[in-house]
Amino acid sequence: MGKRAFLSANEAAAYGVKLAKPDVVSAYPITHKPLWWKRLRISWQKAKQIMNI
Amino acid sequence: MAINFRTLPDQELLYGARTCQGCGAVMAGRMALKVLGEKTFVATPACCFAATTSVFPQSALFVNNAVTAFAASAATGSGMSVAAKKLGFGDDVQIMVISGDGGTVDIGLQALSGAAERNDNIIYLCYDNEAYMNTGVQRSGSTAYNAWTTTTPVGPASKGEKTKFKKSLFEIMAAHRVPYVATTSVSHPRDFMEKMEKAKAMKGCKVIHVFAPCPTGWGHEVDLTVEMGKQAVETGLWYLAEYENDTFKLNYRPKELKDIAPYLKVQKRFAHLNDADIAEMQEIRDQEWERLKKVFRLED
Amino acid sequence: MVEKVADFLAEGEADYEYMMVESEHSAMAAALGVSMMGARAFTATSSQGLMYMAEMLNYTSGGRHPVVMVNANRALAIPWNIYGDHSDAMAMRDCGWIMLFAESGQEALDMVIQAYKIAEDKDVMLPVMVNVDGFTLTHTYDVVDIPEQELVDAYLPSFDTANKMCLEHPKTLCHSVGPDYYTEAKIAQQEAFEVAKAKIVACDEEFEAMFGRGYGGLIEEYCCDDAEYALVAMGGTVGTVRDVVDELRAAGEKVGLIKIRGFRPFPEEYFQSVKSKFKAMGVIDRSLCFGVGGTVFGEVKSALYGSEMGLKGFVLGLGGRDISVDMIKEMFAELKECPAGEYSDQPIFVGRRW
Repeated sequence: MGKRAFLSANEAAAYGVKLAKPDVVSAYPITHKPLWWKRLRISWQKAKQIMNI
Repeated sequence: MAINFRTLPDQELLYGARTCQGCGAVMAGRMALKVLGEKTFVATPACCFAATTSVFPQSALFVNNAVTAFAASAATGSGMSVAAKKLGFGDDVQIMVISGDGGTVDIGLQALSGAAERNDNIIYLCYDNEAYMNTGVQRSGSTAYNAWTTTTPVGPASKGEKTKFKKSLFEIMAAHRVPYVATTSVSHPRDFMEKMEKAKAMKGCKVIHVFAPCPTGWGHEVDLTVEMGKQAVETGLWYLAEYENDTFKLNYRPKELKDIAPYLKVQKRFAHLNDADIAEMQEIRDQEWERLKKVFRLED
Repeated sequence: MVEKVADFLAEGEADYEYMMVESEHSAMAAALGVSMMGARAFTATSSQGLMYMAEMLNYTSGGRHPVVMVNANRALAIPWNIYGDHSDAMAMRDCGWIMLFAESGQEALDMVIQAYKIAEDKDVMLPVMVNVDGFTLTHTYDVVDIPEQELVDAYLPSFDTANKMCLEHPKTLCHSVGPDYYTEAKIAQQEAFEVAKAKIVACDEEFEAMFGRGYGGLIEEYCCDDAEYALVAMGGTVGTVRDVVDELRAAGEKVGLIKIRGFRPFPEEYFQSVKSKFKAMGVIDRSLCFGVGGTVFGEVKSALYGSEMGLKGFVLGLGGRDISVDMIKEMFAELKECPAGEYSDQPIFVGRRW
């Protein structure tokens, strides 16, 4: 059993890529990365600071 | 960088190609590989070069070569160079992309722009025969004004190619601020090979645009390929130049630009032109030369 | 996902070279160049991007370069639509890539790792497209187990191939060939797909033995042993059908699910083996093969040649339209009404507005 995480399939597949250790990744932007996700991430970081966790 | 012809290797890395007689493109490939040597990896799109060197089960190339898609040559070369770095190939390994004018200034321009922006470690060699020759002499963005091609035929309502200037790959690539851009000609082997040598010693995306006359497409005698290249330079219809360190440099300035008529009259693609047409073309040449003088900061 | 792949580099957790190219065409062209040098290449795309790189897909597959790509399945324009369906992948079904479809984020992660093992097998040497449903999977969150690197290293050997450029013995790759050899090159690809059928199963079994998660290789049957009616599904829809099967089973109905995991190569032998197993079989398609009907349905029908089962081809979930529990129940209900030997020659659109 490895590490458990709460991930989207995008992120999960990215972990698969990391673990498969490709030599080169070539990429062009694909699916929308909604802005709320960025906001959520920032607020979660703030929340962690405030809650001191 | 000086080239000493006496010390150039005898080893040929490109021979036995099924080109037409007098092919400028294969001269470019041969001379380029003389300079770059056997540790060269080539990527070429579907073009004259690929069709005459790399048809299974034969190969006229004695270095590694990949035939990739028309629009993909720069990107394929980029991938090869990044992989070479990642796999720990030494600095003596060269990645050369060799592609025609259509494969460069038309369908391949986007990929080349990307490779230039990333400054991937490749030498991009564009051999310019001023049309899509492999597919049957169709016009490209590099075709000369008034030239007959199979898609710019001549008739009562047409004098051939309508665009008055060739797309300037030299300036386009300089605008990408890559380490080195040069124009040269197969008729000037020293100039060409010294520029290849210079590019070989540099890291990053180097672009060399070599003028490569094509007897089949231009309709001149097969022993006039070199002469056509020389005349193009002497008439100012082509020029030998470099861009590096944010500086444009014209390597050779004819004392005075020669009359273009003799150059045009030995080529069947210009056979339909009358004196007035030639006079107009000469005027356009003069205007273009005035423009280039500003680019190269030349005095009158 | 390319953002997350970049994050790993920024965090110092990975050491791949990252090429930010100017287009999908160049992304695949670069991956081809990488693979030709003997290095392991990855790229990702979706929808119009897959269309844009179409030309290069055949280069990588024909040249037998084992690139792995994740495709986030999304609809194709026009009308312009960014949401999920299988139109993109299905349009590329004949590009010579192995095509696998993931049901969940976990399977997507595991499938990428398996994909390299399958692709780089010396007897396969085909690129693999890992398909992950756009939005319904790519943008939804779930608990995922991230395997240990050491275990993945033990499962997936480093890439080693003779099909690469070589300084000692220079060669020409992606040769031009005339009519004398082209057919044999294509036969070799077809034969590799036959080999891949067994390798996909073997790689999945080995994965299960090491990681404790297996997916059935090309196909998974769910509650099919005594089932009378079965629905065939691919991708994220499988999860919903699974839930509905559980619910209907609890109510005593003999229904089952067939999950297609490997669409290329197509598990034809499986369908031949079940051609008289059920009373009726339905196929869920998230794409249209215009002038024919559901794309997967066409394949299933062909593989079931000679079957007396009732067959229905359903088309739904186009352009991101929700595939609801009720729709799946509706399809099972239709299967129950389908007499033996009958099949739908026109696509049955489920959930249409008019």
